[in-house]
Amino acid sequence: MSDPFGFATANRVAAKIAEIRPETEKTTEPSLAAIDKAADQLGFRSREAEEAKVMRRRREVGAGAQLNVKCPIPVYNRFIRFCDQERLPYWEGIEKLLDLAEVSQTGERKR
Amino acid sequence: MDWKTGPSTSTMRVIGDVTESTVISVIQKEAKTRQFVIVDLEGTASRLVSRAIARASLVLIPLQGSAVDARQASRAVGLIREEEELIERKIPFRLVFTRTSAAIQSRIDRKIAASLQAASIPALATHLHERSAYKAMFVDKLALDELDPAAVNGLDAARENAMKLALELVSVAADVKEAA
Repeated sequence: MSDPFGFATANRVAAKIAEIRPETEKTTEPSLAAIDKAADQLGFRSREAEEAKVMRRRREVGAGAQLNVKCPIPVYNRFIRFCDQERLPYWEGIEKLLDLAEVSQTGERKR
Repeated sequence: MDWKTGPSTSTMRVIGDVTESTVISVIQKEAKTRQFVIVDLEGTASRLVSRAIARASLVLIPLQGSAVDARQASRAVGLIREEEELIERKIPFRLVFTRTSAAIQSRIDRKIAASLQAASIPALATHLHERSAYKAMFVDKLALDELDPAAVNGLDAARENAMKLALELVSVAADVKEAA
């Protein structure tokens, strides 16, 4: 049947478009490990840059001075373990303990 | 993504910054509410491509008339075949000739088309021609039907070509959905 003005074609196309609807049924997720392996073998590799390593923020510490302390072994051990657990260098460990004790910059306890 | 920052009033929603780890979930989410979800991938062999293919209802492989493109397209077809076995379902695909001359079909285009036919690789009959209107869309950040015919050469022909391609595509999409 002829369609000189294209109306029939337009109807057919509209009907075809209407057939395509958003998905309602739950789709199964493909197994990524197997797909990635097959893709790798065919040269379809990851092109994304690895996540950038966050550099540890360095603090401005200014001039330094040496502090040598002779102390009982249990105190020594407590302090070393504390710094290890908190991942602090010794001087920052001392600073943290001073802060916890609320010792001011001039050396007085605040309360 | 940049295109959507322009004045276009197209209702198409553009989602950028999709990564290998999010591509499948983004497709799943959009497919629940949208009639068409088009995943436009960079033309490189990447994990993003392979993951998107695994979740696709129809894969379109664009192909310019060159031997290099034909080889790249055949790699994509190889990947589709491999993934079909892994996920145990057919992944329908079509090759699409792009940037072809509207006036004449080159000897290379004909040779590639013949090679596809010989290998039973399905391709869309409509080609997307090389048209300045398609480039103007990205310069003016407008949809094809929003461009000014006075400012863009060959706009009518570009619209006709795009419409023909879209109709064929809708027809193929409906057919593969019916077959699924």
